[in-house]
Amino acid sequence: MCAMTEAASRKVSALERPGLPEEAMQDAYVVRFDAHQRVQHILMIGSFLVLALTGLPQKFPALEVCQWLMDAMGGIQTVRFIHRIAAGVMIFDGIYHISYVAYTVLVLRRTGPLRMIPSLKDVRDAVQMTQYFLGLSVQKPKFGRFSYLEKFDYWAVFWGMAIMGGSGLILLFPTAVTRVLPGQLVIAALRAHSDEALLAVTWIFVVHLFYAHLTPRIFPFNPAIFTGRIPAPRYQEEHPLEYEELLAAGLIAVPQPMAASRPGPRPAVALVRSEGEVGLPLSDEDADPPSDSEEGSRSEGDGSSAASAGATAGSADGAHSEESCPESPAADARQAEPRQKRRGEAA
Amino acid sequence: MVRIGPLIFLGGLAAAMVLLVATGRLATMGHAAMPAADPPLASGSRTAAADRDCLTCHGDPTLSMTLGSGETISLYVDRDVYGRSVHGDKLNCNDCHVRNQTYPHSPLEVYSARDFARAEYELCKRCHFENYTRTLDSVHYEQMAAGNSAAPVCTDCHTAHEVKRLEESRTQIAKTCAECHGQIYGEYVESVHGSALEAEDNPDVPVCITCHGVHDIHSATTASFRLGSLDLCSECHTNKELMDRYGISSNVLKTYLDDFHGKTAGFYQKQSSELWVQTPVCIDCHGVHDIRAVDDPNSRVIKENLLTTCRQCHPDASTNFPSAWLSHYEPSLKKAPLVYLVREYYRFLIPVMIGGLLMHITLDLWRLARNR
Repeated sequence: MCAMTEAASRKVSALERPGLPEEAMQDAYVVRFDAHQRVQHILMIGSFLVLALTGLPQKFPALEVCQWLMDAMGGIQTVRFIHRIAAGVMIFDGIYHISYVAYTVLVLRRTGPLRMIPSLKDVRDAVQMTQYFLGLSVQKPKFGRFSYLEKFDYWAVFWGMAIMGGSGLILLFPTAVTRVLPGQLVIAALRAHSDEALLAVTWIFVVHLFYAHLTPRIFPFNPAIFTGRIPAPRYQEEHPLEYEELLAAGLIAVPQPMAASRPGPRPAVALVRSEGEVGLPLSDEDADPPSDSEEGSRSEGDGSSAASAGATAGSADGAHSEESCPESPAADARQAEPRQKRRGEAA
Repeated sequence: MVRIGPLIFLGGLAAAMVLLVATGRLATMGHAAMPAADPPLASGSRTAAADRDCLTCHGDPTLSMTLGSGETISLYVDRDVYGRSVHGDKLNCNDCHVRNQTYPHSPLEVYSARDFARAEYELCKRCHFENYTRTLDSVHYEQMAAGNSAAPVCTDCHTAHEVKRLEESRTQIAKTCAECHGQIYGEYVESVHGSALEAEDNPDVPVCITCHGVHDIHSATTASFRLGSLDLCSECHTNKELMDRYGISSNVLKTYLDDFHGKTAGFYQKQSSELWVQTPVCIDCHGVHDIRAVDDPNSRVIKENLLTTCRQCHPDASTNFPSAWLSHYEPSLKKAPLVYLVREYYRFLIPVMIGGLLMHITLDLWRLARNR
């Protein structure tokens, strides 16, 4: 719990400062994806690759490489079987995602996912970005949580999954479908399934892969979707508006450089959650001795997440820290004062 | 004249014997593949006089004998009929009937007429070696090897003395097969192909051998024949010139292969042909020997009958179901607007989406490079 005190103090300091100290920026990172989102994306990658690998040879049977693949995977019947299993995984993933979003918005009453909804700003951003590319504007558009490109990417995949899943199910159950719907729909579904697949594969391997990994800003590999973390400097560049929000909300904490003076365990990390999906790591290397550390807690965050985050930090900090921490949040606020000052001096 | 006859006969006989022995040796030496080209017997021209002695007896229509089986067979040879056969001006009696070169003939050691035919038919291979060899791969030979005495030998189809070039009369081909395969012939003559053959001796329609082959007739119930039937049908049905003559689409194979069933069949074609194709091929919907014209009320594929045909494989099919198949039509605004529009939508969407984003990436990289 005591590690949180460091966080609390730095959050407050962040509030008062326009940015973070440069040396702090080096190790700072933002947790952009929570565990659910990471699992969803891993399921997506897996099922997508298998579907593409078993689907493309069905679309281009004339190609030598497709015939080789088809043989290598055990012939058309086996390939179709694998394809349907992978499709099941992807459909499950889609349902998982929608339930997750619905739960977050409707039950937890968090508005985070709603920021994916396209707005007029996205159109303006796209226009400004084009102007910037062409040299007509000096300023890049400033993005919030999701840039217009990320929204496009998300909705393209969202729409694609609906089309692929829907048409795939029609193809799997043609007799049931035609009991209610016209037969032509089945042929249209085959057409759509085949073409949408081509679009999806091209999209993922050209557009998504480029902007997620291959762009010179990131090349060669971006682990964010697996670790959930993005380095703060890059976050500030890519999502300046959200970054400012996080700063203003006191949600960016400064990790501290390794303190050579103090031996002990590696820095503890605490995730501070903002509306459920944005978190900020707190790395606490030169934590003060337990005696003069303070209890920290987010002013607007929910108690449970702060507590659990604090527990993580506390356990890493040492067993002795727990009992020495005051229990009352009010006390933390009071005690945060002197530490904040000290940090100000250091900077 | 009376005295010279036997002399010529004997001379011819001696020449034939020499040649026979020579070719026999050739065959055993393994040069068997060539002999069909140059007939080993005599000079290739028949000498009417040489057969005169044979016909002294065998020219009598009443000449007959009774075999061990109790069958009485006629030993009469109609000189004119033989003369009109393909061998009529080429072979003498003894060129084939080598066992009867001496008189009195050596006693016949067969039980029945069938046994005689089976014992003697290999005589043909001395000249027709290639075709004989082909028969060894046939389903007929397989039957014979399995002990079926009804399995046809050369003379069953070609006859012994009236041999005609069967390819000159396509109707005769069908009738020849019909002797054993009568039921199938019955279906065939009712079909769009068979009725055209019967009615107008149509040169374009397939006869039995067009699909089944001639001497090396393979079983038509194997997995590979089933899969290969696609190529058999499309050999004619993708021939635009030929199909235009009858106002039929020559696009049927392409439209089939683009559809569900055809896609699957296409994969089987690329895999081992020994897998039994579950998915329907041409014959499953159109029929095999009883294929009807698509405007024939008995056609299995006209609208009224299509649901029944679909239900062969899709027993739960509802009345909407057959429309999930475009009847070999390409989708168009008129024929299948939904399919057509979906296709056009993606024709537009894919290049625009990918092109647009590629442009975005290019501009992005360009700006990055410029800013450095």
